[in-house]
Amino acid sequence: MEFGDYITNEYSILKNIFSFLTGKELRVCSQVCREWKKMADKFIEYNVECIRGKQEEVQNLDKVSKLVNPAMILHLLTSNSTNTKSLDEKICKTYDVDDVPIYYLVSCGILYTPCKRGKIQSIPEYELASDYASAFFPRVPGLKIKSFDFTGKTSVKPEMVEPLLGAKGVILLGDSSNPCVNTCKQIAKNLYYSAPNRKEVRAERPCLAGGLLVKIFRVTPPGRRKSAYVTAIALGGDNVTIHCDINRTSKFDDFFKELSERSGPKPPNADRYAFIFNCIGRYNGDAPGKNDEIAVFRKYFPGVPYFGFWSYGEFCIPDSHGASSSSSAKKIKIDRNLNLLNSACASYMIVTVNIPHGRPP
Amino acid sequence: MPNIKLQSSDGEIYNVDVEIAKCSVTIKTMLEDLGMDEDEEEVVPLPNVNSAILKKVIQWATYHKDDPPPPEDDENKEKRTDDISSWDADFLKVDQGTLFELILAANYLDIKGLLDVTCKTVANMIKGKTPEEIRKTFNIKNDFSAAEEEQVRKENEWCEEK
Repeated sequence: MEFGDYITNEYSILKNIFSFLTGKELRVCSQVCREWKKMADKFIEYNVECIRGKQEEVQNLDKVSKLVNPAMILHLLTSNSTNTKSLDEKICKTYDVDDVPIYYLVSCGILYTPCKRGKIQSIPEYELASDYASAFFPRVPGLKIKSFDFTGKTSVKPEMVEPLLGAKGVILLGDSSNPCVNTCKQIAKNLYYSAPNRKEVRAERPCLAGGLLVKIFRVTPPGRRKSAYVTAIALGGDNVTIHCDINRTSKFDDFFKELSERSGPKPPNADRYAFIFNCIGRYNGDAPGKNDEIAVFRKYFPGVPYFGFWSYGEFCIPDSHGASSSSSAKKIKIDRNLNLLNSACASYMIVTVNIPHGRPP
Repeated sequence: MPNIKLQSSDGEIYNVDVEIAKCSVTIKTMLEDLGMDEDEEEVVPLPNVNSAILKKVIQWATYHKDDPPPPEDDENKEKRTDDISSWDADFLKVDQGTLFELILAANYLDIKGLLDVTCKTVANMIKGKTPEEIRKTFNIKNDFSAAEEEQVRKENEWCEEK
């Protein structure tokens, strides 16, 4: 028997071999032959199932609103259709829009932060976002995904944020863990320096290429030695500091209220927005429930599409099935043997959306 | 230390330290469940493993005899393929036929460490290749119909750009 026949026909062995492959590599394998496709699909579907559960939650959350919500569209994208035309029609019909609003998706980056006695160790070879992205958003021709791969030492390069430059607005929220904040700041900085016209950038209301408006918020809860601050890039205005412990449900409203008041209105005639969310809504002690924070966000930013990960929503290092899930994030968090620092990982997702004409602002 | 005799499919008999032989879950279970007395001059027949491969397996097991037992639940373990030790890499510098037989033997004898490292080696042979290159490498027949192939290609089109 040929080697190829052997590994192909032995189910358990092909499974074992595939467990060492990444999402992207599995996609290549699915094109080899029927048996390989069957096996690769099993791995890929497993990943998709993990995310689909979350998307359904999102859909339920948003039933009250007819606003275009990227999370809902992603739900549809990942649900079943491989036919773009019918998918487009489905989205348009479901959300009562004229055309499909997704323009560009920049994938989630994943930071895996192992440590020994509090000292961060980097794993340079670790394969990150692109694999997850390819697993989570399968089979949609035309969908563009770009990866941000972050490790403790990776810097955000200008070309990484290039897809964002045409956007009309960006909201970026980070939580208190240092890697997240640093990355948020780097993204902000690169957006700033990537602008073709720096003068414009330095204007009272920072305005980047394509009308992107950025500002940074820092939240330092008073009376806390370690600053658990939140970085946010919002729609316009100067950098501000909001003293607010966002990890408390009661303070969450305050934070978004102040954020909305100080960030100013959306840019006029904006038809495209970008969002970067990381680790948002991670359940942490008395942190807000996922519904709470989304509700509050909607209250102060009506009409602004959002996307985020919430409550154990981070994608994590793959388990033996090549999949990652919130449950493994939870497990890793408490696994002392792995010497993991604080959070198992940090996830970012950047979504830009065209708001179709005729929709609420 | 007590020894055990392992007999390959082609009749060769190898005298192996019991502890080394027990890295094979199959042999370990056999010894424990069947109550084979370690002192007796009993021969364990391994009808699925030929002498050349059995020799290699014993060589591998002997080198790795002091390794800690592989973790049972590896759900959270990072699946890396770049952590093959140089000894193992050298050990696995064999032709595809031998690699194939080693996987077969590791699977049959249930030696997790050897199965993993051989599968990793195959995974590394897959990485970075196009579907056509993979078929060529392993001599796999493309059994997609033209329409199916087009469909599969389309499904994966977007992820090729990076």
